[in-house]
Amino acid sequence: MLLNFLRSGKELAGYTDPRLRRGLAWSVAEAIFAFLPYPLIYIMIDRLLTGTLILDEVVALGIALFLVLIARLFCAHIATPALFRGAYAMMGQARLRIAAHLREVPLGWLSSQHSGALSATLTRDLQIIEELWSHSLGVFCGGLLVPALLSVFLLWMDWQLGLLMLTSLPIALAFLIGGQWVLMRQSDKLANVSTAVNTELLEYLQGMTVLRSLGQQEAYRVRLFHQFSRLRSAAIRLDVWPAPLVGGFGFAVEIGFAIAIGLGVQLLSTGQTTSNNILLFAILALPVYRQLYEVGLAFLLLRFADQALQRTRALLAVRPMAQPATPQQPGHYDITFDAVKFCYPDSSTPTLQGLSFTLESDSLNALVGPSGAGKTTLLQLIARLWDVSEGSIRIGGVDLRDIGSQHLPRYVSMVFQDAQLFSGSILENLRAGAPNARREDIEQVARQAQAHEFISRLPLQYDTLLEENGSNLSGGERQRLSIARALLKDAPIILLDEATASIDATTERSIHQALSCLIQGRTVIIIAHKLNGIRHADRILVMAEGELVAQGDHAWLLGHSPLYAHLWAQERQD
Amino acid sequence: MKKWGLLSLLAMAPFSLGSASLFAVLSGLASLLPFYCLYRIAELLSAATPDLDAVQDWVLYAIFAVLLRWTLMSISHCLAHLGAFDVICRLRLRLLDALANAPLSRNSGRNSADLRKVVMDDVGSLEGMLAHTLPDAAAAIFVPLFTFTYLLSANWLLALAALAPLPIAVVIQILMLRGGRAQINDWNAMQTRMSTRLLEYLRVMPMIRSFGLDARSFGQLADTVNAIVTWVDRHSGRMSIGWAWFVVLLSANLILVAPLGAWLHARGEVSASTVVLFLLIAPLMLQPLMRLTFALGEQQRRNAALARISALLENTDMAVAEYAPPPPLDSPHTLELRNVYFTRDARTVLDNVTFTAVAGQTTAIVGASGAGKTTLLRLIACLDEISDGDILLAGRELRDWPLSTLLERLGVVPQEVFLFRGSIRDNLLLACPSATEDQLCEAAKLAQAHAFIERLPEGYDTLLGERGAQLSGGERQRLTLARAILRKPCLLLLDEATAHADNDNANLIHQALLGSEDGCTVVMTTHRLRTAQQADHIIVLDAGCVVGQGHHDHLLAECHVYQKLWQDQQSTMSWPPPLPDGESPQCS
Repeated sequence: MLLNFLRSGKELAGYTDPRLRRGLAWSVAEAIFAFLPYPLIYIMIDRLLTGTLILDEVVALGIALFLVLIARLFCAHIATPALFRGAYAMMGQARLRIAAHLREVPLGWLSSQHSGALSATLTRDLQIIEELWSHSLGVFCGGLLVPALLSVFLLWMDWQLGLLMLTSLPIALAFLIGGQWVLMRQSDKLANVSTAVNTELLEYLQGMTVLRSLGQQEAYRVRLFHQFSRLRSAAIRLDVWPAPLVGGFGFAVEIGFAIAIGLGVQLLSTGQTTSNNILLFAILALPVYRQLYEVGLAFLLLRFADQALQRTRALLAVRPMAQPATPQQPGHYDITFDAVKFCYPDSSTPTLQGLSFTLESDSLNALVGPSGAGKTTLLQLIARLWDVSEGSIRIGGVDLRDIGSQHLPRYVSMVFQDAQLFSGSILENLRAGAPNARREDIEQVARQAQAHEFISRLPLQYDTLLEENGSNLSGGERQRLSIARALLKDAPIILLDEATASIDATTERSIHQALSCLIQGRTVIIIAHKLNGIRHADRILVMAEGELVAQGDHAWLLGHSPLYAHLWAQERQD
Repeated sequence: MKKWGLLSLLAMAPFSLGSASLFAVLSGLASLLPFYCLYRIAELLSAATPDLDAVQDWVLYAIFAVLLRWTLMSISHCLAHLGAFDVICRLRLRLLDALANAPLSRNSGRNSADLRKVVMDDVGSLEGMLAHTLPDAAAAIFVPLFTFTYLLSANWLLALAALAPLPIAVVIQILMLRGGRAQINDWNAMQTRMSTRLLEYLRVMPMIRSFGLDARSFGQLADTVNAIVTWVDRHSGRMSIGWAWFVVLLSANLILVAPLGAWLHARGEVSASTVVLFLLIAPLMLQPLMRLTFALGEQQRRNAALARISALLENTDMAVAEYAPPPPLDSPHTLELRNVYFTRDARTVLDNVTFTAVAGQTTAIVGASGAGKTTLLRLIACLDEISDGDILLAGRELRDWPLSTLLERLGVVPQEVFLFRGSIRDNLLLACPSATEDQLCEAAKLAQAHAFIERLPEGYDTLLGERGAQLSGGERQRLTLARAILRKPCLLLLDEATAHADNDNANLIHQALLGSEDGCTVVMTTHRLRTAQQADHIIVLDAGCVVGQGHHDHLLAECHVYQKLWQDQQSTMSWPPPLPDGESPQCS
């Protein structure tokens, strides 16, 4: 397990930091200097008991002990910081690697994950591993090495007594393994209960206002009380049940000296050992083996790290989306759907079934249909946030899977309904699609997107820091930033999910103005909620329940699609 | 509520926590007994002809002592955890109750994920304090004291020598701790920043992919991760070296005790077995202090968690007033706002708002985004507290209503929909557990939700939630509306309740609401003037002020703001939007 743990560092981080190796080497040296006082004390007590100690030796001993102490401190000076620096550097690397990996897995897999569990692995699990790496490597090194060296020394001095001294260690190990087994079984149970409690609590907290206004708080309180009690019992079991075994481990570790004396005195009669020797062994062994208890406890913790490690490994084991060996470049930008079928991972009914159509380069296309028809999913498929279940999607005749996720963003921009802004300055958010854009260009697109004016009114203007999800801006402002960002990126295909959130007419107007800049000279697909806005589109796709029920221009659809005609009539009436 | 602190924690389980500490001290003392046995054995063995039977006896005593130590230790461990988890469980319930009894306005600004973190993670982190730090600290204080007294009685000079490294170690520790608080805060802040960034990275993953960003180029993710590495690079030297000195020094008294003991023995002042006793016990004497310091460091880290917990507990008291009996339930209530002001972050959001929503009528609030529509509704729903003025429901000020009675009579459909895990039926029944199937369907029909529910494979029994059915925004909103209607509220508050609905449904919903015979009072915000047009009364808000009220035709004639809104909406955009003459798109 310890080796497994040591190997895991390289596996997660992709490299082994040289400082870690150096730190380990110096820890070994430190352990040797931590051990050296014992032989010195051995000599001293031996002289003491035989009555042959002379004063010069006492002085020499004092000096030797002092020098060993200095040497030990010196080693610790180098070892500990090196271990910390190495471990944290590696785990920092591991975080970025895992984050990079998650970018490559199908988005479908990500969204099918419990969002809480996923972030817990990225943060808490890696923290557990990190802390054990930095704090415990030294503990294991010293904690195991000092008793090991001492055992060798004692065996070398008197192998019979030495063996007697070690007899209790296998028993101790059995206790430890037993304790660990109980602990793990209970900790699995605790983890299950704890996930359930967390989910229920979060739901309660999110819905607290609603529950209060519905007068149902008491019912939920009772449920949570039960959950908390379950959690308490599970937590108590986790700590109490292994306690006798852990106590047994401590007992067995410590009892070695008594066994050695008890059995050792039998050897006295045959002259195989001396009473001084027995005493010496007992005196040296007791304090040292006692420390093994701490190492044992650290081992128990190691199991938790092991679990964290397994969860992290499971993340890394998710297969990324297939990428082409030789990415192809589309020459033009029409979009073809060829018998595309798509089914969400956890759902049995397909969201899109057998869609086939072609949208020409530089055309304005609209998706309309009642909510739940699969419009957003269709857009996400073109951005290859998911892979189709069956059929294929091609840009300029090249299958999306042959373009490769890395190159696709060059051709496709997406303006999301929820804007998808991140914390950072406005400038950083705009630059997301074009990291090297010049300041003039950025202001230029912001003007086109009707965003420059409101940005200029902010105290820090383009350097204003956005809060998470841009919550310090209004919905309309976020939308316009998101449009500016897409403008700056300048991809030939634009996917637009028009925001439905409540926006007043004036804001809506300026957003439409921004959009009209964005769509010029590009292949555009837009999800429209108001038909009036898209009645001049080159092609309108009418969708219902995952199927394409009609396509054509506004005039044609009015005559041929009852659904479209109905939607249109409805809007007129409004 | 009285000041909340460590003592109130201990008082939640005084018996188990107290006895756990007692057993920890006893176990610590018992851990010294084997050394005493060894000392006696040493005495016996160093005799010219050792009494082997007596040695065997002392071996047995030693085994018994070790057994005693570990038994006491296990008991202490179990008691400590029983007590700790008991406290944790109770504290969590107290937090829930505190949240439940706080005014709505106090909770409304709080992020549920943060609250969850306090209730679960912060409270959970107290286990370390109650179950480990507390008994450890008790043992760490008493055991060295006892040991030192005992050694003092054996030989005062050697005992003092054993104590000698302590002052140096303490000085180093103090130097280490100085500035430690700032560093710990730094560290915590960095960790929080990193997890926030990681979560954000997951949240905006669609954007990251479609913009060709990655873990290294996205925002400051890589920076925050690397900042931690750099911090460790810079500070680990100082911090770990301080720690190493401390650890080494606490067990370093051997280098004084051993030569001094040998010297004293050579001068015949102490017996060999006494020297042995000192060699055995002296290095262990100060070790509990290591745990104590370690625990103090942990405690420092836990302070932030404790502060967050007590902030929730202390801040939730509500004045309990004597309430007069409320007006009867079965009639719609009139809502009256008199000179209402609301300021947030020193910004006036609502400025002297006065209007009346007549019982049984529909009042629509319109205005540009940011005019204060939603804020106004939140004030009426008690989600925020007004800064000045009065809001009266059925002639009585909101704050004079018992909160639960008031909530009983309000139906609120917020912009952000919240549904619980469980079936659609469960979600609807939450509003009114005794509702019959017919009442359920009727409410769903009014909210235009019945049709789509029937279309789901399992109808009203379809499960919702993270892994459940994926409803569209409009569908979710209609369910919430049905839930509110089912309660037959005396005042129904709708905040853009049909924002997500397509035109079809929006119309139907509004017709249903306007035409409903029960005639509850409805106050709604909307950006669709066509909807407002059908209301009995329209309030026009602009930058927090009421700039007009009345009926549609009246406003269209009199109110400039309303006219502007109406014109903007009339010229519903088409692409490209109509531009004023002579102006060309400034896009190329």
